[in-house]
Amino acid sequence: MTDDEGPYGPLDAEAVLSALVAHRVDFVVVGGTAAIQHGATRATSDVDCVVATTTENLQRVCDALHEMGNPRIRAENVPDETAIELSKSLVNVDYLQRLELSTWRTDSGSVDILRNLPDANGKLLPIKDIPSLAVTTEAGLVIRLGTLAAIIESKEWSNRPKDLEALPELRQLRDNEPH
Amino acid sequence: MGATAAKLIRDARTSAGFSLAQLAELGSTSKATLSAYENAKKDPGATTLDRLLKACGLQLAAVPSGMATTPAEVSRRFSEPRQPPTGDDVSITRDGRRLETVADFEALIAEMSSD
Repeated sequence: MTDDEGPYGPLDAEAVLSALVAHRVDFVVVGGTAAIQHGATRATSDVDCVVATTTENLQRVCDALHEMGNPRIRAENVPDETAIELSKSLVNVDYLQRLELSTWRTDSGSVDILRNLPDANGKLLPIKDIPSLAVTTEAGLVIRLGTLAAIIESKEWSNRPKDLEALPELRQLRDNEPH
Repeated sequence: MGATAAKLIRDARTSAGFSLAQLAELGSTSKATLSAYENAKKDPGATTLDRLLKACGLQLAAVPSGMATTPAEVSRRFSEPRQPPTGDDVSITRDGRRLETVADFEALIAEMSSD
């Protein structure tokens, strides 16, 4: 998996995924990283994961974030030094339980932790309801990946310019999938 | 509410790309009834209107008079990005609050401490 340079520095997606796998986090990769695994060429600057929201799993997420290195909140209007200070109180299960979406910066790159993924109608799907498949990454990690159809639906719902730009290639990949 | 509801439902459905049959199924009603709503021949009532708009990805909300009820305003609303499912450097709480500033995070930390 290639490294991509985002606004918060390079993304080492394999390192991020490796930490999640090593800590036995129950997660499904969605968003741009999943699209790349499906064959998309568009670069992404973060790894988006929907996670199971049990206390045990969220503690594993925290452990994985620490393994990714120096985890701190990612917010445009929060300077990094302040983010590091605030994050001393935020890398914990209580915080993750309160968030629908938490955005993080780590030494391995940016990570977004989600509770749900929207389908085409905006219905929020928890991890157990997200259509997914198991894949092996270039580095040999076995991970669960949202299906191309699920990724397309979430981007259609999101309706942001960057998602709309990604859709033509994703639809072409979907149309070329073997049936 | 008749004519306004009719326009809202039709605009919501067409902007979401649904046929009458598709929205009828999603909104737990019949195609004929939905058509009657869209032609202001039948009043859906607030609960049904809310359900149909939600099926189109919209939330029925009270707004000051004069806001967002013309076709142009409704169309503009549909062209705007919806709540992001991922990233953009904004964390979002389960009750929909966006955490964007130091004050936002400090307020949440204070809540966590007091609970």
